[in-house]
Amino acid sequence: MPRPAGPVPIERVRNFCIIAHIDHGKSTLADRLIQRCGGVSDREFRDQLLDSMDLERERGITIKSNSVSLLHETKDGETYQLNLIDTPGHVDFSHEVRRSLMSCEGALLLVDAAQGVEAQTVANHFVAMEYDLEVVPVINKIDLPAADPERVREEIDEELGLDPFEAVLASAKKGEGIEEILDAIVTRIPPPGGDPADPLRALIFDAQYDTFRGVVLLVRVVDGEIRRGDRVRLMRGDTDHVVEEVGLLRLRREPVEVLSAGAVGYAICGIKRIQDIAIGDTVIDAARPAQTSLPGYREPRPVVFSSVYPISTDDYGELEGALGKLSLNDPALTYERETSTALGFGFRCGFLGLLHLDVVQERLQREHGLSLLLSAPSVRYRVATRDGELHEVENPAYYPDPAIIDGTEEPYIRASILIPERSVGPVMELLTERRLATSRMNFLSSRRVEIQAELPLAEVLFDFHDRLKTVTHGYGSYDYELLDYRSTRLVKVDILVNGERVDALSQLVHEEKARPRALGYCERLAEAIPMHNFKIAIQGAIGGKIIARTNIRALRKDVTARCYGGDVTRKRKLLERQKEGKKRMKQVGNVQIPQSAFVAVLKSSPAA
Amino acid sequence: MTDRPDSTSLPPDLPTETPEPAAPGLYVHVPFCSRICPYCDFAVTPLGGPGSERLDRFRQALLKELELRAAALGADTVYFGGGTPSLAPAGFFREVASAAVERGLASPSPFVFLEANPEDLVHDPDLARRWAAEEVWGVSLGVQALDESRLRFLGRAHSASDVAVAVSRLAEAGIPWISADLIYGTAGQTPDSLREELVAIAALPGVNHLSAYELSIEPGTPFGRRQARGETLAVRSDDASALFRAVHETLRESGFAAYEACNFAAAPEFRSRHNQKYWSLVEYLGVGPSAHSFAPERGERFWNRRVFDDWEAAILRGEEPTAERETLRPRDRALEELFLRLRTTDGLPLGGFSARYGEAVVRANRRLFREWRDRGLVQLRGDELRGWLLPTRDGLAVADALAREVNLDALAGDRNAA
Repeated sequence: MPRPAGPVPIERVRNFCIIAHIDHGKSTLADRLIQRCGGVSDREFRDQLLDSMDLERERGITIKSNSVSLLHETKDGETYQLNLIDTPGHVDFSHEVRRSLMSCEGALLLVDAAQGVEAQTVANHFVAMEYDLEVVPVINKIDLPAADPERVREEIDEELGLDPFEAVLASAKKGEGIEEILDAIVTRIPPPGGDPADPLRALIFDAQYDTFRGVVLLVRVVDGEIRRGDRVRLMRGDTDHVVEEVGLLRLRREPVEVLSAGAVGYAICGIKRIQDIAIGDTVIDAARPAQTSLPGYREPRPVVFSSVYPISTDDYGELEGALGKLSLNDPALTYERETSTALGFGFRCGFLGLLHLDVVQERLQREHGLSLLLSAPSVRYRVATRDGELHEVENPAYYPDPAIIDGTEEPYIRASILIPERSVGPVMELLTERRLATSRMNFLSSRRVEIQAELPLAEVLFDFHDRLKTVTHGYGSYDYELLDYRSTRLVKVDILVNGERVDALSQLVHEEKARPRALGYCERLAEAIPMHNFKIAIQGAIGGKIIARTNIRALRKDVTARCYGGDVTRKRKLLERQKEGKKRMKQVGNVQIPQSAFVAVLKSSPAA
Repeated sequence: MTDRPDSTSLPPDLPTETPEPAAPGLYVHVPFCSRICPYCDFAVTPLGGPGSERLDRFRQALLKELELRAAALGADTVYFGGGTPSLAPAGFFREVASAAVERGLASPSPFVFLEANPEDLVHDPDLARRWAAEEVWGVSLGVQALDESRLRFLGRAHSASDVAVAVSRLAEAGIPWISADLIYGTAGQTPDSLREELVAIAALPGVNHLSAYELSIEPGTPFGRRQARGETLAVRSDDASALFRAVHETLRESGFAAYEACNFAAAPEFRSRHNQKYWSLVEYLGVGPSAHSFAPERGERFWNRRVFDDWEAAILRGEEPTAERETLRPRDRALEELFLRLRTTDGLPLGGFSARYGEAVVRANRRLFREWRDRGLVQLRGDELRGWLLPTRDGLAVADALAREVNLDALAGDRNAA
C-alpha cells in the first residue's frame, strides 16, 4: 500500500466509529477494515496482531483500545486517512460511547442480518443522532442461512428512521461488502472541521499505559495543533507537560511531526501515572490556553457493587495489583479494601453495570490468572435516618439499624425491551415478577413490540437477561437507562450458620424477595457444607426474625463410591486435598465452611 | 426431620473368621466397550465387535506384558476388569490366566473373575458355558439398575429382563460366584424405588454378591459436561445418605451382609476374593492399559500408560508400559490404610497400625476414636491401643470423613521419608 508523501490533508481524513449491538460482528468488521487498508495477508495480519498483543501483555499494558488509523486508496487514486475509533458496545459504558462519538463525524451502524435491529441498536442510534453524526447503516452477516436483509431493511426504516436503501450489505466474516463500506465512509461521512490556527483543544478519549513511555493519551484534536516539544496543559488536572511524541495509531504507534485540527492520534507527554490524567479531559496549549474545555468529562459513577475476594487468601496482593492495573485504563472501576470474617481480605468494587462487572471479572481471571469469589451484585440505596441524615448504602455491612431508618429509596431504570409480538404475555409476566412500576407498549414493524418499562435496577441484576432470552425464545433484547430514586421497602437478609451470621452472605433485598432469596442461599449452603459431628441449622433472618431454614444432618454420606480398579493413589490424593482444605476452612461459630461452599452459593444465580 | 441420630438404629456388622486374604492379586484391564456409558471415566475405547483387529493386538500385547513382568508373584486371583471383558474372544481368559501361571505371576488354578455386560450373555447363549469351561470362577454383572428409565438414563444397552436371563445362564453354567453391580443416586430416585430394585436383584437365584455404588459425576465424562451446564443428574447429598441407608437396610433384610461400604455378600465365603486385596493393602499387579499396581514391600504404587496405543507401543519396544511410579511415605501409607480399612467391617487393627506407624499416632487419636464410638460410628474392641476399630453402618457411610479426621502429625519416621 503506497504511503502518502506527507501528512494526509484534513479534507481526506475521516473519523468514524462502529456502533452495534453486542455480537453483531463489530470486531470482525474492524479486523476486516484494518486488514484491507493495511495491505497485509491474513497470515501476516494475524501474526502481527498477536505479536503486538503478546508485547502488550509482556509489558503489562491492557489490551483495550482498537482505535487505529487506516490508509485507504480510492478508485481514483486518492489516499484517505480513516481513523477508526473504538467504542465499548454496551449501555454500561454509555459515557465512553459518548466520548468516542464526540471524536467522530460519522458512524457505521451495524445490524445483524438475522437478528435485526435490537434494543441497543436503537439506543446507540439515538446517541449518534444527538451528536449529529452521519450514520451509515450496514447489514452484516448476510451469509448466514437465517439472514433476512429485506426484513432488516424494513426495521431500519421503521425503527430507526434511516433510509433503508443506503444500507450496505456485508459479511465481515467472508470479506463481502468491505469495499462498499470503505467507499461509504469516504463519500458519506464529512471531513472533520476545526481551525489549525486556533488555540489548541484536544479531547482525551482514551489512554493506554506503556511501561517504558508512561501514559499514552489517545486524542482527537478539535482546534489548533499539537507537536513534539509543545508545552501543554491538562485542563481538569491543571498540570503542565512537555509533549515528547505525537503520532498516528497504526498497528503500532507511528510518530509524526504534528497532529492538526481534525486529527486523531496519540500524544506522549512524560506522564508516569494514569491516575494523573482523566479520560474526557481537554488538552490545551500552556502558552496560549483556550478558555473553554470540551464537553467530554464526567465523573464516572458506579451503580452496581460487588465484593471481590481471592479464592486463595495468598492471592490478595496479586488481586490488589491487578485491580490497580485495570483501574489505570478504566476510571469507572472503583475499589476499596474490605474485610470479611468469613472470606478474609478483599475489595468492595463499584461498576457501571453488570456487563462492566463481567468484563472486569473476566479480565482479572484471564489476564491475571486469579480465582475469585464475587458477592451478589447490589445497587446503591439511599437511606434516610431519624436524625435527618441521608446515607448512601451499597454494602450490606453498612446498612443502618432498621430502628433508626426513616425511609429508603432505590434506583429505578427505564428499560427498553424489543420483543416479538407473541412474547408480550410472558415478558409482562416476567416484568411483574420484577416489581414493574409502569409500562408502555409501542407496536413496531414486522410484528415486533417495544415495551418501555420502569422498574428497579436491582431487579435486572439477577439473570434478567437470561430469563428474557428464555421467555422470548432468544428474540428479546433490552437496554436501559437510569431514571431516578424511588421509595422502597428494603430489608437486610442475613444468613446464619448455627446462629452465627456469615457476613459475606448478607444482602439488601426488597421485602417481597427476602424469603425466596434466603431460602435459595440456605439450601445451597446446606448442600455445600460438609458433615460435622453435630446437626447444623442454616437460617435466613431479617434482624431477629427467622424467615428461612434448612438443616445439615449430623450424619451425611461421606465415602467415595469405589477405588477404581485398584487406583488408590487418586483417592488418597483427593483425601489429602480435602484434609488440606480442612485447614483452610473458614470458621463460623463452631462450624467450618469450606471456601467451595461460598463459591457454590455465590456463583449460582439466585432462585428469586 | 428428627434430631435423633440414626447411628444406633442398627447393630454393626461384626468381623467374621474370614482370614485376611494374603496371597497377591492380578488385575487385567480390558479397555474395550461396544458403547461408552455417560458416567464412565475408566480407560476405554469403543470397539466395533468381538474378533476385531484391535482385540487381537490387545491379546498379543497383553501376553507380551505378562512376559515382561514375569516374577514370582503367585497371585491366587486373576480379575478381568474393564471396559467390557465379556467382549473378549473365546479362549481369552484361559489363555491369559495360563500365561500368568506360566510366568509365575499367578499360582496354579487361580480364582478367575471377569466383569460382564448382561446383554452379551443374552445375545450369545453359549457364553456362560464357555466361561465355565475356561474355569472362570466368578462373574460381576454390570446390572446398574432394574428400572427401565434408569437404565436408559445411564446409557445401558440391556433391559431388566436381560439381567434375569444373564443371571440364570451363569447359574445354569455352574459359575460359583455371581455378583451384580448397581448404581444408585440418579436424580429423582427415592429410597422406596431403590428398595424395589434391590429386592428384585437380590431375589435372582444364583446371585450371591452385590455391589451398590453411588453415581459419581466425573469431569470429562458426558455426565460431567451435562452437570457443568447446570443439569441435575444426581440426588442431593442428604438424599444420597438416605439411599445409602436404604441400600444397607434392604440388603441386610434380603440376606446380604455388608462387609465394605458398597459391597455385600450372601455368606462370608462370597466376599470378593480379589477386591478385598485392595482394602487390606495386599500386593497386586495390574496389566493392560491404565492398570494400577501396588508393591507393599517396596512401598510403591505404579500404573500403566492409559492410552491403548502408548501402552502397546511401549510393550512392542520391549519396555514395561509403566506410566508413573510413586513411593509412598509412611504418612501416605497410613492415610491409605485408614481410608481403605475403615471402609470395611473388618475395620482397623490398632495394634498393627501402631506397629507400622508408631504408637504415638494411635495415642494422639485416642480421644477422637472414643468420640467416634460415642457417636455410634465405630465399635472399639479390646484395648484402646492394640484393639480394633470396627465401623458401624453409619461409620461406613462416612469412612472418608473419619480418615480425614485422624491426626497423622505424630507419625514416627515421617521425617526421613522421601
